[in-house]
Amino acid sequence: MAMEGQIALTVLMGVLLLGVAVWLTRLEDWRSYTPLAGGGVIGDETGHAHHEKPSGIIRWFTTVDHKDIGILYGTYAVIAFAWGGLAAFLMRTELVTADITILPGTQVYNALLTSHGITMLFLFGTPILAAFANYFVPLFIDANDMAFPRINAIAFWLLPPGALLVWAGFFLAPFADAVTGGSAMSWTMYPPLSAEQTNPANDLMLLGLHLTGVSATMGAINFIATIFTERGENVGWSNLDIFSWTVLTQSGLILFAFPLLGSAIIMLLFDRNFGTTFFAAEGGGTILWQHLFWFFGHPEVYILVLPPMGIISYVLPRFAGRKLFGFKFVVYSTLAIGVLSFGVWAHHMFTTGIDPRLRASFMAVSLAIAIPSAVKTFNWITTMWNGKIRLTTPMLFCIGFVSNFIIGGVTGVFLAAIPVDLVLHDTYYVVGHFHYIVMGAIAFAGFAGLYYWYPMYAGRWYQKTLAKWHFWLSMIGTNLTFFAMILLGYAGFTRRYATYSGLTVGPVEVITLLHQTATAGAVLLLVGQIIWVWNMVNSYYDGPRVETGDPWNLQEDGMRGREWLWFERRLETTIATDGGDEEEALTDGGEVETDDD
Amino acid sequence: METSVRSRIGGRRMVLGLYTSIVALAALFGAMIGLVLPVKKGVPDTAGLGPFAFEINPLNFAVYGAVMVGLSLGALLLLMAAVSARYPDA
Repeated sequence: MAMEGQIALTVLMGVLLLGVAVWLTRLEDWRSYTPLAGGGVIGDETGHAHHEKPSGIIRWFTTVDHKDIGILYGTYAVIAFAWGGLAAFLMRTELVTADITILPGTQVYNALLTSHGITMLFLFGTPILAAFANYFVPLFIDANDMAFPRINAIAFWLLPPGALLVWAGFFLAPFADAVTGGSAMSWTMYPPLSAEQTNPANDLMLLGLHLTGVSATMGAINFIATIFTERGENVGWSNLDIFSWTVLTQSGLILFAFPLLGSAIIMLLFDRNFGTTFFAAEGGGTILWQHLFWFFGHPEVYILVLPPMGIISYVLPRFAGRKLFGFKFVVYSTLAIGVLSFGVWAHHMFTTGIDPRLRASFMAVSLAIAIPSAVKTFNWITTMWNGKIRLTTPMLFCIGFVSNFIIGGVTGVFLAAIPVDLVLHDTYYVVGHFHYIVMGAIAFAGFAGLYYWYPMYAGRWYQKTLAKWHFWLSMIGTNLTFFAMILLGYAGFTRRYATYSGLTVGPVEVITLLHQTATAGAVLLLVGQIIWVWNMVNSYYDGPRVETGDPWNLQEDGMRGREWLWFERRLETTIATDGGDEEEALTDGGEVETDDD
Repeated sequence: METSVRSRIGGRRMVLGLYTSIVALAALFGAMIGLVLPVKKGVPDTAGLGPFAFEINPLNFAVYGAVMVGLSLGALLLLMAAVSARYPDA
């Protein structure tokens, strides 16, 4: 009886799947608007000829247009940013008091901590940069699209299942007894903790992380191929823009770093599930994981920071009214950072008891990598020095980037010194330092880019006053939160703790006060980001329309970039044909065919 | 609309303004570190750099922060001004 029931169920599912397949084939004639990846032809149509994009949600599910995929990456990243930000806010709220009062338990805190780290680095940081790179690199280099448009789409569509797997523990815990909550092994996933925790959410997170790594690698291959082979006639290496240079270097780093992370993750999964001993004390040892992880992990820092530096190097001169000072040196420093970033990983492991001679050499390279970063800062400031500055919102974020980057960078130089690191390792000083970089610099550069190009991708203006509020709340919030963390570190307070009533490093009152200050900053950050989302969404529908191809008046300084020339052509064609937004294909340099058959 | 932002600030004024505010901020941060450090157990009474030794308190650390950041960033600022005067079109 049970057997018959199963057969009936299988047949039913088969019929259902068949029905879905038939429905999909009837829904759209896919090939009518999907250009072939290799630029080939179907029948007598060219692969580049767009007819018309389908309307509604189907457009977004089927698109291979680099601009649409850029928007998809951006939307995805903003959702992840909200998730990661709310996780951080919950943690900060918990830390207002010394004991657990708001969250159900310390394991929930650990899960939020893990989710915050993984989400912000892999589901927000890397994708938001891919959003910019997808939308703008082809425009900057005068290409029709990415070299492999379909691989581009696949790379994006690996991300949503990746995110669901990474967050799966939170969703599944109420329904499955085995899942005790979100994964709580921290973003660094150090064994033996990560190998021994029995929660299956950890396995799901590792699989999700693996997917995002595959996605990033596919994207990187695509960017390298695009920048090498798809440049327009007038775009050579000598006049390649600074943002594309940083994306190219970043893609090279991804190509070497992410596959290694993927391999290490698989080894960890095997240790967890199949009894291998790659990272067990009796096997390869727990330090092996740290070496593999940080060989990926430190280049990852530069994977996240190079394109934002590219955005700043691109946007800041536009509002300083002069070209970037020492362009060549900014490119050289980008390449130097790319190479050196693979030689600093063990500075994360100074306290693990590794050979002191190794330690000293990693300290030397870690101090050396500060030099190319300082060269960039030097050039940004010199650009401003000789310029005439317009304090628009993107410019405010650029200046905010530079000042936060200096604080984050200098605190990092101290950590690179072994004696200082031995004292401050695993304290809040480290957390404060890297948040100055990831929030104060990387996110600020993202905001600068989002505001600067808003007239282009939204076709409308954002609300200026709200944008200024967003900047000042973010700037003050960032410094309040993360400087309080630096002080917590000086006070000897260890990171990753959910409670601190029994601590012995100093009076609980002082620690509590510093935590409350950091939380006050987090409130400002939260309010600022709510204002930002409101501004972005609301202006997208109701903002005044952009009617000129040079909305920032850059022409008067001779600073108008290629992307705005493209935008002007798009505006002109839109008006000429009286068509809607769907006429974008023309502006790619392709042809619009009015095919009536 | 941000296009309306046509007023310009001289770059030098801007950078010098930033320099001043960063030095002021360094003094503030120094004072805060001077407040926090003494509460930690096992911290010595005095701190210093080379021949300069001083008691750990907010005022001393504020002065230390301002002088230290002021001198090091000031040196870079002078270097930057010199390079930029030498190569105005770089």
